[in-house]
Amino acid sequence: MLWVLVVVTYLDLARRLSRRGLPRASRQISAVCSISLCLAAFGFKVAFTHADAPELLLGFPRRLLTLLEAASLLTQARAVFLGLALFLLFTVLAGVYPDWDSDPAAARADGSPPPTRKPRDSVGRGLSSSSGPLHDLLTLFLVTQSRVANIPLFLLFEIQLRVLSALHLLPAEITLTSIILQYSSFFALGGSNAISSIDLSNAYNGVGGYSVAAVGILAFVGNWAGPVWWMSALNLLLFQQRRAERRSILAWHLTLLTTFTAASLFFVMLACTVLRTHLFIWTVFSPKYLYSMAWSLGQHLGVNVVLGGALFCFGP
Amino acid sequence: MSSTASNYDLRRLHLGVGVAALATAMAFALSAPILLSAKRVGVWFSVLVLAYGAMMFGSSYVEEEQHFWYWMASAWFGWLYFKAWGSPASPHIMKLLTLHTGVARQGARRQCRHPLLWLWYLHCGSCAVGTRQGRNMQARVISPERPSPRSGGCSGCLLS
Repeated sequence: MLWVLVVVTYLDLARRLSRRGLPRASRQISAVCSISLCLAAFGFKVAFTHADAPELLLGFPRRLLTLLEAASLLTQARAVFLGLALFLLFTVLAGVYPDWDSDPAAARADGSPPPTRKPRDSVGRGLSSSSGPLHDLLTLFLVTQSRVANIPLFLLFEIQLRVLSALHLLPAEITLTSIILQYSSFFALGGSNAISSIDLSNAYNGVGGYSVAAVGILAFVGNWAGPVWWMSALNLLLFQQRRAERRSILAWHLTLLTTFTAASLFFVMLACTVLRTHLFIWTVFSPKYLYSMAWSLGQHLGVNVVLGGALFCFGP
Repeated sequence: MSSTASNYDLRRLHLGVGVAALATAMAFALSAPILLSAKRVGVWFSVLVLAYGAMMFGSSYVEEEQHFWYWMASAWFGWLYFKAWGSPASPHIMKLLTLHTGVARQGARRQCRHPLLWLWYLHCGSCAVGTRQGRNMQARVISPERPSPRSGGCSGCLLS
């Protein structure tokens, strides 16, 4: 049952990627590319779970597993990341050079003849045509960095996003929704304010040895997958606002987020200072302090401001 | 005893708290116009910040912070429902609330195997289908693609 939901999540991702990803390539090529990418990601997830938590794979076809064991986890993860990077590159290129007649790069990647371009009717209305695929790519990356049991939750998040987009929220309401959903999704994906709940299982995907930067970033993304997803999702909602006011909307959005981060940091610091002789200062309050550092430095500064701002500005 | 066990540099602690207070004050000064112009959102934001701040002083509240956010999200969606009462959007919010309960439930269980969860997924699948129909009726589709055939999730739930 878990695997049915996981497969549905990957199928949904493949469907969305083939519809919106690779805006220059023809429909067939983008379908083949995105299906093979999602298949690779799914295969990696199955192989990873087989190594990490084999009890989740009871009843899984044995032949499929031996097939997947042919390639090492390292190679599989690198293949998935490479595929994601190529997708990202072509999407960004298509956004930067909208006037290209054909996309030789996409054709070369497949080894197939240059595609006959068919304008895809579904792209370009409502949600921006270039930020949609970026969101899908980010989702695939986050799913790769999450534990199997959490993957179906991304399906639920997606439905929630659809419902939210039908509501026509005001910008300030979107910001408040963003704060609330970022925090609650962090806890829904298994996070808590204890050091022991940091999940390192996905931090070494595609990394051969120990390197502080790569493992650190992957560990952060693995643990903060929900908040990162909601950042990107609510950016899409902000995008629906009127075109002329976009810049100021982003500025207000970031101001409100910063205010919340600053206030929460202040309260955490005050609590830690006042309660410094408390019995639980090292077991409860100091982990909370470290977590709020990660929230403010990683999630707020790195993800909301830098990544969110880049995603938002790249769209138009 | 604990004061002898830890040798804190109090001056730096106070300095840090002072800097954080200054940053908070400046951020609030900057965001005051939007908080004052959208009054209700401003009230919600202040309540959120104050409640969260007060929570940081209780060790049990810090340990069980997830409940605060689940309840906060429920209250926020509930308020959105109250605000959109009678408008065509209000059924959507009930779905949102249901979905959120599903997410919170899964988060509380920390695993995906509880039988009750399948009921939630089934319900969420039907929510998605309902959203599609509702949106087609409203004839104002926002996302560029046609709303998705989410029934795959439903039938999966029914089969197991």
